[in-house]
Amino acid sequence: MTILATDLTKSFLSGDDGLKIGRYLVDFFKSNQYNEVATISFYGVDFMTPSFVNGAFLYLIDLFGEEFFKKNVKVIQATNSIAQILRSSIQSYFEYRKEFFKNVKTNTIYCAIDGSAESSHFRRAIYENTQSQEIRFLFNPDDTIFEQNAKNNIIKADVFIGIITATQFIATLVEQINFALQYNKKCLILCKESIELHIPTNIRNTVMISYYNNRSYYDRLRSVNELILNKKVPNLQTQDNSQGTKNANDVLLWTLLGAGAVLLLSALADEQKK
Amino acid sequence: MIIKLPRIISLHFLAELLQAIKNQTVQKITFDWLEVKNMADETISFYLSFVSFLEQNKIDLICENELQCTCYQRIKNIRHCNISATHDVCKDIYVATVKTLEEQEQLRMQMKDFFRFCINVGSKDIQPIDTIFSELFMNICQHSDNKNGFVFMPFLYEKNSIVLIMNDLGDGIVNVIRNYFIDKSFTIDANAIQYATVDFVTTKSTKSNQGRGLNILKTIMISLKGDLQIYSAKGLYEIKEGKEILSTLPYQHIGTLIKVEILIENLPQKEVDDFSENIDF
Repeated sequence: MTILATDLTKSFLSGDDGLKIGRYLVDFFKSNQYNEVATISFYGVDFMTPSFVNGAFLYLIDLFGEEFFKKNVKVIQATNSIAQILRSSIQSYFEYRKEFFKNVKTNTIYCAIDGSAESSHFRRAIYENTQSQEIRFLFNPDDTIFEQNAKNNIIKADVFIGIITATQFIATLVEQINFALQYNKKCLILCKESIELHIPTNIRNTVMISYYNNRSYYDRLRSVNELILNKKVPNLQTQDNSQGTKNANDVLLWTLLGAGAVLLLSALADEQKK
Repeated sequence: MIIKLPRIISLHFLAELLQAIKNQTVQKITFDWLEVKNMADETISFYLSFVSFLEQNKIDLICENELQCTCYQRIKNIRHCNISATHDVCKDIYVATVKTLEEQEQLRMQMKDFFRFCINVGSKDIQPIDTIFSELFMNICQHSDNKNGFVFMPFLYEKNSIVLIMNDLGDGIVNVIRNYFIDKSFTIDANAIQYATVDFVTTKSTKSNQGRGLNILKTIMISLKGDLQIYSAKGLYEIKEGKEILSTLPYQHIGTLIKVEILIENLPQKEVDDFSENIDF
């Protein structure tokens, strides 16, 4: 489908102008189950800033990753200068992400799985997936008793991800999260959509929770990356950054959580294919 | 010639005024507005730069309405206290105004008018200046946490160059970078400014802002062999003849001042642009 950029915005200057296109494309992909290529025509646009490219395209890369972007986004009817801005901005962002993730991968994630057959897929897939070996995952022991070895692993890790696939394991997870929070670890819960997640309010307000389903991998990806992005970007309108980023180290840790979650969700997708 | 200042000063008017001053046909400028009684800070900022400019050109600005003299005095007093450093940096330079992000597009178009009126760029492409202007403006609006600032855009006839200066009165790059990148130690303030010019370094993180503005500015300035200066706190970061120079100022600069100077002859030739490019990433 061809989308005419000038139908969506009249200004091509700021990142917020760009987000009008970026958000439209997210809805477009969602409504087409991530199967259709979006072709954006810049006919009639004679000037664009690199900031505009951030909101329109780099935002999509943050949500869906490079591969999806390369496969599903095409630009037509651009002027030479706009093509140059698009190519250089996007290319340098690919390179930047590669470098950034190298730094991220020097960190360690503690992953609390719940002992169910489904969650053990995560562990197996992570071990099998060569790419994931670049990020160090420490798992809790197979038995669900929270003992000293697991505590040591949480202390050693930089961030904490908990996976919930069945209600009976919630209590053990809560115990582990409480321990992680004592050490100021940033925490993310990946919870299967069908599970009713009853957890104490103090935890619900402190950790990030992303619900996943078994339907679409890209939906899961978008959902968790959107969550991370919102955490990294304080609400500038209201100056509310109490729950958001305080400094560069926070951004690195939120990104680590996001990268870990994406790997786990990819592992789940691979498992489903089998 | 005596020029009476209109109540609304457009860039077009200022361009005409600039020409008249260049031709040395202006002796004094008068004004008698009533609206200036309760001036907003940004209005004051505008007149600050305007008054500076006139003084540099030895032109008297005379208030014809006694009731307004207090306001005028207020302008002068402010200039001499909190932006004296800026004033030194900006000598010989003219004016524009302070606007909000929403009015940026309008200001950009006015800037193009200014170019057309004042400067003969011939077959040169002013798009790099357009990009610099937009990126710098957004930098002020997004990062300074203070919309109050100055935009100066003179054309230096002797050197055949364009100068663009923006100064916001916000927290300043140095303070913001030092507070955000707490694990990094910057020996001098100029190091913090230098770090802010690295691609994708940002203190507002992602989504619609990726921290590219200053890097883009630096890249354009190097490619056009232009001069770049960034003043913040006690830091001065410069690019001259493609080389980075870091130094320490003898005073504390309020907010952030960015000055770019580009020779017209270094602008690229304007190419005929059609809408024919298709891109796969």
